[in-house]
Amino acid sequence: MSALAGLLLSAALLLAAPLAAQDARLAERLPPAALPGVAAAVAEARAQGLPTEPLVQRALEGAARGVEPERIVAAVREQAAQLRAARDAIGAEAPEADLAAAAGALYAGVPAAELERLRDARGGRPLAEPLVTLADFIVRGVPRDVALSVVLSLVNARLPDRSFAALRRSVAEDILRGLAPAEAASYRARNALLPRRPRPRINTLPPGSGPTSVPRPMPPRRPFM
Amino acid sequence: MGDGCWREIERELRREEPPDEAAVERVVARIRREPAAAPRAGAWAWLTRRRLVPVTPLWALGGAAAAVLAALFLAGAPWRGPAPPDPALQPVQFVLVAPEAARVSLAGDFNDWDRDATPLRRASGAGVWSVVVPLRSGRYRYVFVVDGTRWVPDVAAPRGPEDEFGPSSVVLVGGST
Repeated sequence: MSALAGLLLSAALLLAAPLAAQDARLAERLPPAALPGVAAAVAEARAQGLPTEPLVQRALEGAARGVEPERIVAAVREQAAQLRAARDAIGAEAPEADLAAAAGALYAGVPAAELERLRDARGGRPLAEPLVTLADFIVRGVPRDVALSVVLSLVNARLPDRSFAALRRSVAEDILRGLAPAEAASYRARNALLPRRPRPRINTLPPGSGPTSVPRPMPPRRPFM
Repeated sequence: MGDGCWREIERELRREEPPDEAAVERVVARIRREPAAAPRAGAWAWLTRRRLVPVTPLWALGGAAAAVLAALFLAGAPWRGPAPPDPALQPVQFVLVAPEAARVSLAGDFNDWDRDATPLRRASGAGVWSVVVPLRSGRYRYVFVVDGTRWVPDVAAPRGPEDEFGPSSVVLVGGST
């Protein structure tokens, strides 16, 4: 093979490789002006071992909403950076849902050091629920330090994940009713952390206060006269 | 060895032996004693009788292509019935109350933000729209799309912080309890 032919073949392979690695959904849906930047960001993330599906979905969201190409590219690059920072904070072995939730918390302004504190407090358990709760509170207007304190207290108390979901619903309802976000979050967290009161047993009701399970003795019958 | 010797050997090899008439008679008698095989008849015989079928290479290629197409069709044959449900998928219900809406759909990470892929069904006359979507474990962002133009977050779900394109909601599927 001549040197020129070899050079041409190498160039063709170099061009073909990134094209082949492109997600077909991006080529079909993105505005043409956004495709090179997004494809480059996705390829770089893939090379760094980051999950690429969140980046693809962010680009597709931008395209679906009719966002300008440069904003789509900027958003994808920013999310890639947040995924990288999230991986540094909570560990490379974290599941993709945890990484995405951590990236969301970073987007909401949570410092990476706080993510590390949450990771340590969780003791190896999944982080998605506390992180989604944290980001939700911040988006709803709970001050960042209050939101962090609330979530960390629940994590330290080792409450089950359903407690986070219940807390989110309660805080959202309180805010809709007009309560200040910080107060709503603090009040509901205190309630969640209170020890549960034992339910009263049925047969401990005071005598005469209601029906009991003990049958009353029948009065003696008078003999028929 | 001299030439005379080689010629002697050649002459001996070329010499024809006279047939053994008695041996021939014995073989013929044996053949006559063996029962004759019954001639094969019927459809099975016709089907299993070997034949030589001359075909051109073009016909052979066409036959091979037809066989491949038939195999592909059978692989996706409708009479095989629906595939069994994937145990890794969990049903997640999405509900929106929108009495004035004419149509509502979902767009999110689970359907590539395709606003036409997951329409909601009007559950009752009170304007309650719902759909059940099977999802694998993970974190998904989504919005409701009302009448094809309004992107509405789910008030009953946690907010997604990634809002540079607009508000969204988050659903967590699976995980620990």
